[in-house]
Amino acid sequence: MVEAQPLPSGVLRFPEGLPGFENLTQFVLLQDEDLVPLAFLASLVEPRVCLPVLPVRRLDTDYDLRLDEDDRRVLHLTGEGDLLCLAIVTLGDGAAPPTANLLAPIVVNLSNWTAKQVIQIHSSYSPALEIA
Amino acid sequence: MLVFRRNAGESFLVGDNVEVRILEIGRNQVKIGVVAPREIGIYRSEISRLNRKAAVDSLQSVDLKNAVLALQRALQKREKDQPVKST
Repeated sequence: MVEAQPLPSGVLRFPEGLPGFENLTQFVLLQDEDLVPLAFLASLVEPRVCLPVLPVRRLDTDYDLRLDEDDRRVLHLTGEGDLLCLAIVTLGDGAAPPTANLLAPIVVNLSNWTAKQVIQIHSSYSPALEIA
Repeated sequence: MLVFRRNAGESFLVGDNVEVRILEIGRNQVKIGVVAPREIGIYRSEISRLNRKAAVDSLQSVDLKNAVLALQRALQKREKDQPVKST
């Protein structure tokens, strides 16, 4: 069992927005104990935009997250930092299995709650890993 | 849609300050370089599409509870099949 990392309870700031929702920069993580370890990344201004997320470590304990200079600049990250790494989950419609995007996780700098979806260009991680 | 051909090593401009370079052409893939100012976001379209799909599926999933239960079961099975190393 992977030890659960507490999720931030305040507003996460995405300075660049989220791809597909570039104009949305403020999100909160909604959690419900019945839904653990799933959480929902919900826009503060557009309530219809609500993405299920899972800690990447629940899917891959050896996940190799890499941040480049630009990522670190956006996240205001100096040194190692305290990071949270979340995979966006597509729940599927019953016929299709749920999948997780390990190619482009959401990285949150826990010291300032700034976040960015970071594409792992170096990797062969799947954008739609079947969770089954 | 504007359609034209480029060879490896060639480039084209979008507006005044975005240059797209064709670096390498493989069998099924092209390697592309983009030179653009920092404030211009460059996204792989499949990431945007996936994010939208994830948002839509969670809303439209008529049975969110069941979708979540299925996911929780899949995760438990996954962790049983691939014992987690303690870190």
